[in-house]
Amino acid sequence: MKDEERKPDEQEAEAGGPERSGALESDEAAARAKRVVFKIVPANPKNTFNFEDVADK
Amino acid sequence: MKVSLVFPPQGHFTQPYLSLPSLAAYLRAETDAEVSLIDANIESYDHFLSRERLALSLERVRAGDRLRELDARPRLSFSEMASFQRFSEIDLIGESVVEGIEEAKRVLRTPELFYDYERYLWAGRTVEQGLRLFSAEFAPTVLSAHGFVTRYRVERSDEVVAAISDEAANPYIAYFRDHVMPRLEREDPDLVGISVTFASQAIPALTLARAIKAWKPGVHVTVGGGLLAYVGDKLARRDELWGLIDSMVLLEGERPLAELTEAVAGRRELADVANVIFRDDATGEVITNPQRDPLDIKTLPTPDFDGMPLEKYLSPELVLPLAITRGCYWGKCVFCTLYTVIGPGYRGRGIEQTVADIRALKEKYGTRHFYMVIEDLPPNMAKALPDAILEAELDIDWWCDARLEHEAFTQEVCERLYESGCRRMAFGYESASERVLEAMCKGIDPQKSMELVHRVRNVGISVTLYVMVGFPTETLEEARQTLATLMENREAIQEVSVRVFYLDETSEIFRRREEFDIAEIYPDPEADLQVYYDFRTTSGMTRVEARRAYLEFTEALRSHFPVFQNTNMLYHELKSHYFLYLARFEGWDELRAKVLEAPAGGALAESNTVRRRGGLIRRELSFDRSEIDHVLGRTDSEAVRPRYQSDIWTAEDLRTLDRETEALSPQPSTLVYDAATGEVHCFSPAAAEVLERCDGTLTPAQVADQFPREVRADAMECVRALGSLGLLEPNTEEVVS
Repeated sequence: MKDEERKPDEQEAEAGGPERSGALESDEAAARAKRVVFKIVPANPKNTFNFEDVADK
Repeated sequence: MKVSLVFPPQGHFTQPYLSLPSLAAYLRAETDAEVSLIDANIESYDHFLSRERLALSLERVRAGDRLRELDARPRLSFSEMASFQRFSEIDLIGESVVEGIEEAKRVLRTPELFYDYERYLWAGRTVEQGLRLFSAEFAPTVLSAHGFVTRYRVERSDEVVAAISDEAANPYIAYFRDHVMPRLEREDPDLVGISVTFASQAIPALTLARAIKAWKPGVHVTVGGGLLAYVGDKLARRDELWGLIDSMVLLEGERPLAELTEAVAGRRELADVANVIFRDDATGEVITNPQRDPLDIKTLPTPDFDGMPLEKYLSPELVLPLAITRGCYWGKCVFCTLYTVIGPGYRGRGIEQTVADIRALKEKYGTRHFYMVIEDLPPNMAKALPDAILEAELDIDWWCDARLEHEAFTQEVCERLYESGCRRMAFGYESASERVLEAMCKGIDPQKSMELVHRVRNVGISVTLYVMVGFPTETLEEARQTLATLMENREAIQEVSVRVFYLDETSEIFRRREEFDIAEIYPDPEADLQVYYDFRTTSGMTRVEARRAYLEFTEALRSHFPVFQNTNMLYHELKSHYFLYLARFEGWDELRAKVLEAPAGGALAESNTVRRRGGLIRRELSFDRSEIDHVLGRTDSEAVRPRYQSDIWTAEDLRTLDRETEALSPQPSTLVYDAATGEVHCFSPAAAEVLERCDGTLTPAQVADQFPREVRADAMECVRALGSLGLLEPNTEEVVS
């Protein structure tokens, strides 16, 4: 992959980052990361059986 | 004399029950009655789970467009969350379930499809989803594989009477009218016997009785079965009942039913039929006839399944129930009620007859799978039965319940049991505490019991343990000791059936409750059919603590026992399925290795571009469905309710929960249904975006690159998770170097 095809932030990362306040950027990034949640969970209502129901019959 | 015997809904759908075949065999042998059998349980499941019927449910459920309305709300209360959960699922999967339901039934009924585990799981999920779709039409009524509950409580006769004419809540009113009554009208019986074993059958049974009386008031309708032993005398006090039925049979039904046919034919007085309750038409007096000793079961004929719809059960091979004993030879456990309501008395069928029964049933119905419906396999039979089965070359697979008899089940006995085809044994273990077991009068030693568990397991028989939490005086430490013991020995235990202790008024402990520090019981003044009581003890766990301990058990079992993990449904789908898989794989080890823990499909090659698999259906929602599932599940789990009662929230419960539960604010989520597996997942917006970007043009790393740098690692994990869920496939046409 050529450099021009890569995203600017990737190039900055390899070059040691832009000339900005490192602490401030890291706080913002952490805050952004916190907001972005990759969550996948099963969504079947009562998808886990009830042990008591099963025992009865 | 024409007799129609009916097994009403709801029981499980994987195999026939024994009551009708036992009664039919006796009536056919001992009377001149022409007997027909109607298993309305499996017939109604088959109808409700049909393409045509589910399409109707879908149309009716969708008619109100309730999802769109709920989705637009600024907040959702607890009861709105429950509706949202229901409607969002149906909106997503409705058409696919309607389209797939007939195939799902075919998979469960066809060996080469059933034993393909992936197909089996899809079919099981589709059936469950079909039942949820059907139930939604009658909400809050729930018909599942395991139960039938409505907003009407079965322990209150007022509510039972109300339920049998409420067509909006009771799907069996229309079902009986359209499907069972035409058949009964054709058969035109003189006597109809309705067999009621479970509380879930109470409302359907009386619904049917009402339909019969509306058709032909002169037909003698009698109700019998296990449930009547608990509530028969209470029910008899209810005047309205006597407009629906003419008599009730208590305890074993063979002889009373035969005598009833004579009474209905005018050859005997009703007052001369033992074990029967009836109302004298002339005086209006309810008369309880004396009880007679039960029959010697050696004199009974082999159960006769002729007339049962054997092709309709949702199993690929027929598993026939057979009672080789009746009653419990131990009969001392203080919490148990069965020895007082079955029989009474313990009786054995005898080895020769058992062998003859098995041979006859095997030849007649072409099956080699048997479930011995007994409380416990007595030591003498444990020794003699395997030899007899092997000597007679019966070539069968079977399972049963047994007591943990350390001395009787020797290594040799266990080996012979396996050789004779025994593939599963279920034992009442109850507790690892010697003190608790002694208080229960179990008559077993926990350490020796666990030794026996290992012995049984080591010969290849799957072990199921029944465990009880919250026995009066049991402490939290004692319950946790039991859990720890189960966990330590989990390689030897395949299934645990755990339940919270409930105080049953027909048990010994109820009569001697002061000895067990039960200080108070809480009868429901409106529940004239109440059998189970909430109570308070002065020692041991409170009821709430017992419920929490139970949740600790279920969480641990789900995390550590292969049978309960993930989305496995073998246990979920009840008796026959797990047993049939065991029989197919000749025991637990092969089943575990080849099926339950078979390696999943390989990981996605990360050099390939990836794309969403075909057949995924997505639905964006304004609320987070996973949060809704969490709130509803947590509230349901923590509720302390005797199981005999409906576990549906009452209107009053819902008002309280609406007040006390924090309303949910919008937070988008996406539901994704995989039509190939039947699974539904809830995605956060970011995860949904990852799925969206997997369009076949990017590799996993390139998909992750579409996200801000600080979350790329998480995005990459998300792609892998999608791969392991089977939602992605490599786009092999486009390989990126």
